[in-house]
Amino acid sequence: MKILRYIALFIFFIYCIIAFAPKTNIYYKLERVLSKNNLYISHEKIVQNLFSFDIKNSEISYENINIGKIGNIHFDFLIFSNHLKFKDANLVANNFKLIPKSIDNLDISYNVFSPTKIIICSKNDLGVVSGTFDLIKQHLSITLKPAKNARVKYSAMLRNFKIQKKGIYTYEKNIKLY
Amino acid sequence: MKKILSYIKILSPFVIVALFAKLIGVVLLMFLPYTSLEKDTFVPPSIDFRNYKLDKALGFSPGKEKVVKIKEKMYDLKDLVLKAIYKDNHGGVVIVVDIKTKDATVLSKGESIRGYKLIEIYPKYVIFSKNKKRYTLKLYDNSNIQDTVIKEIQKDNLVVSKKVLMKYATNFNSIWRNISIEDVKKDKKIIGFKVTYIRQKSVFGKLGLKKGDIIIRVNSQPITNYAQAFKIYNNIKYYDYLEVTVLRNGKEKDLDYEIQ
Repeated sequence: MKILRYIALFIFFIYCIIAFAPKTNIYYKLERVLSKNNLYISHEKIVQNLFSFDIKNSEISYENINIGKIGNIHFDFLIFSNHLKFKDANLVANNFKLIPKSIDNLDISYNVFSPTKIIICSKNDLGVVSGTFDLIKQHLSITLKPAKNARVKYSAMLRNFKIQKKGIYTYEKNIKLY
Repeated sequence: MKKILSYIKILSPFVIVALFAKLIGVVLLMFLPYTSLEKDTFVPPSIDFRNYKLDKALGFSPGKEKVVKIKEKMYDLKDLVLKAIYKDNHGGVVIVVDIKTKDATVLSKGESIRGYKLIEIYPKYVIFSKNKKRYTLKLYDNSNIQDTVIKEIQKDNLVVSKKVLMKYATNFNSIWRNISIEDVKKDKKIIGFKVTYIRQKSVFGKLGLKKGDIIIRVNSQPITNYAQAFKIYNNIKYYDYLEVTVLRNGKEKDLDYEIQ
């Protein structure tokens, strides 16, 4: 009974830490860290809630070049299930081989019940994307159901994918983060 | 009473934990910045305090100042190369390349590069000023690259060689031999650029542009001034895909190109 009480107290403490954390100021600090790499987030509107955080209408620029706009970046800190959601992202200068020009939504989530995996879901110009990143193997695997005109628009990008049955594309890569 | 005391006994550790968490938040706040970092904040204020007249500010009528015209000595600017001039009734824009960093910059009248402020635009040269000295920069002319360019475009799948576009980016004046554009205005605002002349055998003709087309957007970005149009071209090396939206016979048409 005592152990249960301590566990409850610990979970409550973590929730309090998240609720009382100066999330906006932490974001300002993050902005400064990114600016050292010439990456700037400008003209954004910040909305701070108890367990979530929104950055609205941000303009991203890298080395003085406007990369694009993101309608909403939403962070959810719920310990058991954490989300990072991007909505209405439009990239102007796109030099990234695997990121499409327009992203309707992108959800990167981490669930305590599958602690070794980060789950990625997205609907974008390229099509419907779902994937996982294995934190132990440091392996990224993505499945893509391409949109109608993706084969024409993003033929260079699709060359990085493997074609599977029924028009499904897959992408696998080991990415060493640490 | 006993019940209340037992509730307090159960809840008090939670209250203490919440207060402790709040305290951590407050301490953390002391080490974090309070303001957002905007890109614009890096632009220094351009108030010239030397020109501030105290008598005017206090309402005194100033005496007539003698205007002394001094014939200024002109210096040559050797750190920069002038790649292109686009002059119009409103002033125009120029593209200069820094010799040291090889970075190309689009400037309109009044803008500065490395402390040199662009003050005059002429058809063949421009004038900068820095520390009360005036510098001329003449237009750099490159060899004709036309013939080699057309061969490198694959017409069928609309794949454009990045190399081709980069060749144009290094010789902007060759663009004007093949295409000419003029701004289209609505309510005194530029809504796009009309193609008034195009050489069909040129790279622009092969890309599907036609005389009379009004270019309104590039990669979903509305083109509302000359500097913006030049900036897109100047940053062509960062693009993998180009979507040019034109108004043709009153209807919008997308011209899609993949850049490799």
